[in-house]
Amino acid sequence: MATLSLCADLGDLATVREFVANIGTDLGLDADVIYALQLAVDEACSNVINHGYRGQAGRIDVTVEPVEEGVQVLVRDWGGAFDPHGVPTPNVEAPLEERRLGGLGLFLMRKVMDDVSFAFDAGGGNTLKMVKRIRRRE
Amino acid sequence: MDITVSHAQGRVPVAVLHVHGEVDASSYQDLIAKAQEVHAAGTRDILMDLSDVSYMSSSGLVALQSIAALLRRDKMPDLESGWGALRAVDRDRDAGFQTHFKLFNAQPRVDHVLEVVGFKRFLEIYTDMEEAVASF
Repeated sequence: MATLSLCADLGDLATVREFVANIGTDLGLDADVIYALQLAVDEACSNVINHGYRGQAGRIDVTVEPVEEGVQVLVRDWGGAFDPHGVPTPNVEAPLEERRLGGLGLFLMRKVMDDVSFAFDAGGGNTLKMVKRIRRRE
Repeated sequence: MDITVSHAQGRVPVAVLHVHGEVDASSYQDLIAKAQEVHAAGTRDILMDLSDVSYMSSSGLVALQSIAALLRRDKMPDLESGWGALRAVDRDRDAGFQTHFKLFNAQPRVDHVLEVVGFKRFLEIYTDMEEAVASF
């Protein structure tokens, strides 16, 4: 298990992606899986920075660890409570001019990861758990 | 992320935005700003070269959608071409196709993201530069 603690700053997103890539490489994951993990973690951290901390200072902990079914990522923050039910599902069939701008981050996280769940605790903040299942070679 | 601009001449002048690096929430606004800059200088057609973009998050998609909207506002039928041109504009509008903003050479993982969010149905992606420029 490896954890990176970072300040809630969009300028640190590249550092988070590099952290995820390094762990993924150490775990022997293939490049497509690493890309999926990077994308999901980037989207999660961007949401926390923009919406959780709303541009204010804050801390984000990103943990990547192997689990039985694949690899698990935990993203913890202590910003405002996040309610995923409040995020409208984007219509990815609609022409671009009929879509609202943005709103694709959570959609992408769910697309590239197999399990995505959110929990909020008044004392412990938000915990986002994402799992990418990996088929083992026989 | 860096952006360089070149110009190509097809049936109309085309600005080619060559994007280098990773497009994320810290950089996507630079992409919009560059498009606004070339638009303000008179360019009405933009081809975005994604050959050297190794990573694009949803923020990059916001940039693409914003640039498409910027260029769509200038969509004017060529009246000299008569009703055929007007009908073509209506057809494009119905189909949601972006006729003034196109992409070039998206790398497979970026291409996959564009596919997943349904952008490829409305944004043409070319792999041949001459063909791309001639398509405007």
